[in-house]
Amino acid sequence: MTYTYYWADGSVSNQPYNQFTDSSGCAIGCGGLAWTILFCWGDHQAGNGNSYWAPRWGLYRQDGGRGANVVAPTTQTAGVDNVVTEIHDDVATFCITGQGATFPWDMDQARNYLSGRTGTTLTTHFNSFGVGEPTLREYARDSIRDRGTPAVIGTGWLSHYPVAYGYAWQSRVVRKCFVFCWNETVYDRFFYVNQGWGGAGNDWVAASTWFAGEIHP
Amino acid sequence: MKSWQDLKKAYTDSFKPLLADLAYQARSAWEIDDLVREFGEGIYTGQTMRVALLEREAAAEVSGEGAHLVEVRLVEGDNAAPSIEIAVADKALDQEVSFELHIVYGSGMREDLRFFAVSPTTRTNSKADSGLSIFEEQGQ
Repeated sequence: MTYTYYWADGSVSNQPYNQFTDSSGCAIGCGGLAWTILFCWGDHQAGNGNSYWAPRWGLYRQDGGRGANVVAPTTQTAGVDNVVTEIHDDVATFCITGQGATFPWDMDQARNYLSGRTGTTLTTHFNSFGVGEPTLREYARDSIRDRGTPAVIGTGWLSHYPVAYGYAWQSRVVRKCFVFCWNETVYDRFFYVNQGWGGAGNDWVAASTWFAGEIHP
Repeated sequence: MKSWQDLKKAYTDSFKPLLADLAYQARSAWEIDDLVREFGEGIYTGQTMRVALLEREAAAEVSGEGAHLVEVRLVEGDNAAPSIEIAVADKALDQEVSFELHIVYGSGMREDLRFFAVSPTTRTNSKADSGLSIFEEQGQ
């Protein structure tokens, strides 16, 4: 009946980025935005004394390009928009009823953004049918718990990619009855996410995920 | 919206997707809460559990068949919210035993929470209301 909490380093509100409309009139997409939040988190950590991420200062560069090193901004500048747009192209986000959608199997192509900028690597794991798997939850949980690093997760039914910064769990013993009764240990598990909605809607969501995207310094 | 009535009428439809998403997110936790409400929450013998208090001024007592196994004490931290710690005696139980925690707050508000004590070695279905007694009575 008591939750155990784990948090990634830094504040969830340090990357309050939001989607915007691309040149075709479609939303830029949550997949590319989630990677942007995560990459800029890493860069922000590198520039603010996180020894684990300190060597990876090139994750964000001047105006989102490939030039001089600067610390990733904590507001949505034109440079951040440039990063989102570049990753949107990398992960082949497409337009469907005005929304930017990205297949989970294309999400790993965000590594193209990293190439030439930083030695940071990324890994993705997913269920193509949008079914939540305990193993995927554990990838994201381990990133937060063991490395203090947020992770991209997938919520709803293939519907949204937020970035998980926190993880909470508790176990309870309950009695279940169907024909006969038995006692069972059950678990409540939640991720605290940055939804990528400009800082709005950041909240606890059920920790059932069909996608886990991690970055490693 | 022209009136409060119009707003109330439109509210459900307007917020239906958001409400459905919230219900989806909370589904698993609600199922567990329903089980706890119906049967109580289990505590293993030899272990403790804390129940957060809704007000700082509160009194607690325990009743039920398992009350003799249970001790409660008020826990007050400097910054943390006050809570009641329930400690269940370290004793092997043949079957789970139920008890209720009654909390009366300074404002007069009252909470009645159901629990059951259980050992890791307690056999499943050993309680009389388990339903398995039907088979036992019929010798199956």
